[in-house]
Order: sequence, then structure tokens, then C-alpha cells
Amino acid sequence: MRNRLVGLLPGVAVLVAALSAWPQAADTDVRFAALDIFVESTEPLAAWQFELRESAGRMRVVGVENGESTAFGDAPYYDLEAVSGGTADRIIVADYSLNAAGELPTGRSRIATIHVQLEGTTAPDYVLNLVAAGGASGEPIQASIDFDTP
Amino acid sequence: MNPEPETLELPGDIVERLERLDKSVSVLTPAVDRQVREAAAVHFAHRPDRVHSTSRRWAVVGTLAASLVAGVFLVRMQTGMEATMLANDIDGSGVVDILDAFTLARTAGAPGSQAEVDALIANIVALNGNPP
Repeated sequence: MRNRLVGLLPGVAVLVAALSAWPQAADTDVRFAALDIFVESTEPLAAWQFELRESAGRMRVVGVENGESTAFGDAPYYDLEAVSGGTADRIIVADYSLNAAGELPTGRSRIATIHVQLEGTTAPDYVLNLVAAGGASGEPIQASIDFDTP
Repeated sequence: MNPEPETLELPGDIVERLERLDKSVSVLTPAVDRQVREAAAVHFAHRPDRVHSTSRRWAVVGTLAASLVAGVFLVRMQTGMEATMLANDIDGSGVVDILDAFTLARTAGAPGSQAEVDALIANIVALNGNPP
């Protein structure tokens, strides 16, 4: 009988720990999301820069991935220190490619994916601005930016 | 109707007192005025207010000097920042963004130039250096 009780102790401990952690998790309401960022342009896209924030500051950027085009194969430029330190409540992301115009993306192309941590239960109000977009010779080009939340 | 001038018959003591009041007021001459001013200056020469006014004067001078130094510092700092911004505004668009770094990367060829491009982009994407 005593051995049975001793065997139950780890299970009870886990249950107690889970129950004690439950209210805390419910209070903070932290969740994660990913945003695919797209730029659309009729001209080959060689350089781009955007800024993403959440209007109420309830977002923390936890990761940045490169996009789908092989012209932008490496991770884009961003404030890695702020993201690693958990202080990035907004993010500025930029990249360029020295590839020839024929190898650059045209049309709608996913240029990055941003992973964020959100606080609260309210739907996030993302604010996304395309700061700059440039063509193969460095000139500014007309382009638009949008995002999907897969 | 022809009104006659009214004649007032006042008692003698009242007339006498009224005549005393009707005497001309003595005028302060410049000499008296100067004496009063000098006496006042001597009288107030050692009042504590004089010490306070001296320290207050120094406080005003100190504040002005500090403001001047701060102003010069801010102007120089702003001028320095503007100079840096102008130096990094490679395409002359008036803003420093990825297109400047891209232009630098396209024209660069010397060793170490990639480090310059990376440093420029690091400034462009830095969150603490670019207020929202």
C-alpha cells in the first residue's frame, strides 16, 4: 500500500504544478504568430526595406526568416540584438541583391516571414510600411506591401 | 431774479484754523532730496537682501552660462548628426535607407567595403537609432 502511494507522488506533483501554473498562463495570454510579408512590383525588385509594428505595442518580434526568392537567399538585415533580447516591439527589415535583373523577383513575392509573440486576447492591429523599394540599378520603384498570417 | 452774493459769517476761531491750513506746503529742494537719498543708501547698505541679490545674480549668470554651453553642445551634436546623415545619403534622396546601402554595395569593390555596407545597414535597421 505504501509503495503504491509513493508511486503516485510524482503524478500528484505534476498535477499540482500544472494547476498552479494554469491561472498564470490564463492571465498573461501569450501566443505566437507568423506573418508572411509580400512585396508586389511590376519591375524586378533588387532592394527593399519595411517596418512592422503593432499599434498598441502588444507584439514582440522573436524571429525573422528570409523570403522565397533565391536572389535574397540569406537572412535579411534586422536588429538582431533587439530581437534576441526580447525588446523588439517593432522591427525594421531590409535587404538587397546584386543579382542581374532577370534573376530578381517580379510581381508578388514573399520577402520575409516575421515571427511574433502577442500579448492579450485582442486581435493584433499590425502596421506595415514599405519604406523603400529599388530596382536593379538602384532607382526607387513603385511597389506595394502586404502580409498574410498563415 | 437777482441773487445777491452770499456772505458767510464764521466764528473767529474757525477762520483762524482755516487760515493756518491754507499755508503753502514746503517744497523738497534738490539738496534735501539728495540728503534723503544718501541717508537711505547708508541705512540700507547692510541689509541681507544685498547678499541675496548678489547670489541671485550669480545664479542668473550661471544659468545663462549653462544654457549657452548646452545650446552649443546641442547645435554641434545636431550638426554632427546631420553631417553623418548627409554622408550616408549616397543617392541624395534626403533619407538614408536601403537604397543608399544598395548603391554603396553596387559601386564598392575595395576590400572592406562589404563591412561598410553592413555597418550602414546596421544603422538603418537599428531600432534605438530610428524612432518610430
